[in-house]
Amino acid sequence: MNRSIRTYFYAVLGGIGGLIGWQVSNLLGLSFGPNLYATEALVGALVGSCVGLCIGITEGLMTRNVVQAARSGAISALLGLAAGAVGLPVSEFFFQTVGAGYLGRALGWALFGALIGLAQGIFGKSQVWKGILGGFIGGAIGGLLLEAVRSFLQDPLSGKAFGLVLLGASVGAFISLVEVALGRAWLEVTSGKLKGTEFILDKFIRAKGPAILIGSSALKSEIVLPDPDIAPQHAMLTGDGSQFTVKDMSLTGTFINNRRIQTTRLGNGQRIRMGNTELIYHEKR
Amino acid sequence: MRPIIRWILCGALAAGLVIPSTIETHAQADGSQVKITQVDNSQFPQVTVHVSVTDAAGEPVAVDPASIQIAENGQVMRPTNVGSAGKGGAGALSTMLVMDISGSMDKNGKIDGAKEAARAYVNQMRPGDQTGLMVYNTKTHYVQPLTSDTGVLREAIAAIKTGGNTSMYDALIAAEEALAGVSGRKAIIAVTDGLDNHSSHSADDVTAGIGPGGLTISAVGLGDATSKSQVGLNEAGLKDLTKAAGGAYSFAGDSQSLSALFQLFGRTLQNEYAITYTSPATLHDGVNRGLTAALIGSPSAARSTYNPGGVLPEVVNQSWLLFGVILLALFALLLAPAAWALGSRGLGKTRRKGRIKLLEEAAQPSASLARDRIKLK
Repeated sequence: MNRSIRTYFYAVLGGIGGLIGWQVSNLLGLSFGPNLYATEALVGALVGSCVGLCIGITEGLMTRNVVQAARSGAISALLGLAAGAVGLPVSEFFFQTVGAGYLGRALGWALFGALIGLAQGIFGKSQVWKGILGGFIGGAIGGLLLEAVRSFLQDPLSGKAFGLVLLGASVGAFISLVEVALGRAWLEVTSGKLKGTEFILDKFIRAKGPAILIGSSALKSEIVLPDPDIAPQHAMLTGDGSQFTVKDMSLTGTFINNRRIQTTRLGNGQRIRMGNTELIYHEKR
Repeated sequence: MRPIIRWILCGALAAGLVIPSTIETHAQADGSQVKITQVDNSQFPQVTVHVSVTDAAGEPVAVDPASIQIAENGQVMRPTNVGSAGKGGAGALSTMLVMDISGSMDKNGKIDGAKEAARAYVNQMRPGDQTGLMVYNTKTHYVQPLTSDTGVLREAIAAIKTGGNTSMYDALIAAEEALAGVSGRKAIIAVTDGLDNHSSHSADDVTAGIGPGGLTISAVGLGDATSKSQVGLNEAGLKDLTKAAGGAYSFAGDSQSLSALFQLFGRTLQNEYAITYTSPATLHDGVNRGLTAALIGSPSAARSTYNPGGVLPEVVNQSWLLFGVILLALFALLLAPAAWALGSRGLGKTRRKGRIKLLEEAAQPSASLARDRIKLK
């Protein structure tokens, strides 16, 4: 599962989030309360949680990690709920301030997307600012698409439906694209069930930052490789600001370029083997 | 407003991309003008349009309120309420007077003239009207919040002292914020005698800060309009700002004309017509609505726009069928890569199974396994 497929899944699941948000907003409308901003806070919370949930579960689904999908999805849904509750009324303010139209939609939804990206960035393996940037760009482009589709399709219902699907897809796709395009370090799985999958490591590269555990247990490790020959906590990666150090924690060993290691610094292009799974470490300088 | 958001907004405004509600006026043959001064859609679908009718000299003209016709997107609206000076009033008027007290205002008796003009404005307040006072130099000072007590206002005006630089845009933003929670007709009247040389905000920020409730900003220039020095006025900038904010700009050469202008602003505001109607398009669909105010039997007309809100457009109904169809299509897209991979394998692509064999192991499998076994012991 390469980078394009990663972005593809983010886009499709973001689109599903947008579609669910569309139906929820249709069922509620905006006129059920006397104050537009108050009703939008509620509708925004529900739409935000739908988009957040779908984008949040993507990484877990791609890596066949149900626990991560459930945990990340739940947290992203909660953060999306808060982001939507704040984001939609603020977006409405900007929308009206700049006189609606394409610019209003783009600015309004860019802010909403940035807050969804923030939610994703807090729990993801990339820096928070990349999530915000991706969400902002995705929201802005999604807002333009929403306005264009809504204007193009004469039927407001289907125009809004396709517009919101494209908006969710755009937010999801750009969150992934920015993470991938600006990624500094990542692991590529080259064998096993997850062949082609990439795990971004950017958030963990800073010195004295959190370590990242690689293993087969979704409850004990951040990078989970479904391989019976891999220990629940097999190896640990620690960043020093520019490079990673890998430390073996298993009985069966961790191999770098076919040599068993205890602790060593990783270099670009080195092959890591654990159990029956092989990974390549990539870094961009 | 957060700095980053304001920066983005300003960038968009500077790029000329922002389209604020446009207000156009067309003069009648006799010189009178109809002008939409404020559109209040805070109670949407109930919309209140404030209209002024003035003659060529800018003096308010009394007309039959029934002769003012409001159309939304070309469709004539039936008013649910019409307020006018001769019929119960167009509602209470809330005005924020924003006065320049920079050091240059101390010259040639300008500050005394400005105080006199403010007092003249306060003197013509009607019962129920509210006026507040803000002064600015390097900073903005909220001297007197909105009040109907003319005595308190006169005392606040008398206490004004001068000194420092000019930060008019910051003061106008502060005035907008002070009027944000007030309903009805709102206006800001500013006096300045120089270029804004100290604000952290721009004129575009001021326009963007008006908000959906609407208000007008009028300004009077007291400086030397012909001077190119720092003490001169930025008349072009003030004209642009007041036009975008639905107000008017005038130049006053002395304190008498300044007082006269303040009184004229007051008379015009007090003689406006407030026409309320219920929009037939009740959804918050985020689509701009065109407004036209016209005098029946006259070519005089004014145009404006408002937006009912709806960054997430509201629609009249919902469809589970459409939801199901699109959801199925998206699920198909979600499963497409897996289906493609399965199809590829079916066409003969081989899949590597089993554990990876290293070159070392392939050559001497027993040696590698033996080494691991020793370590495990």
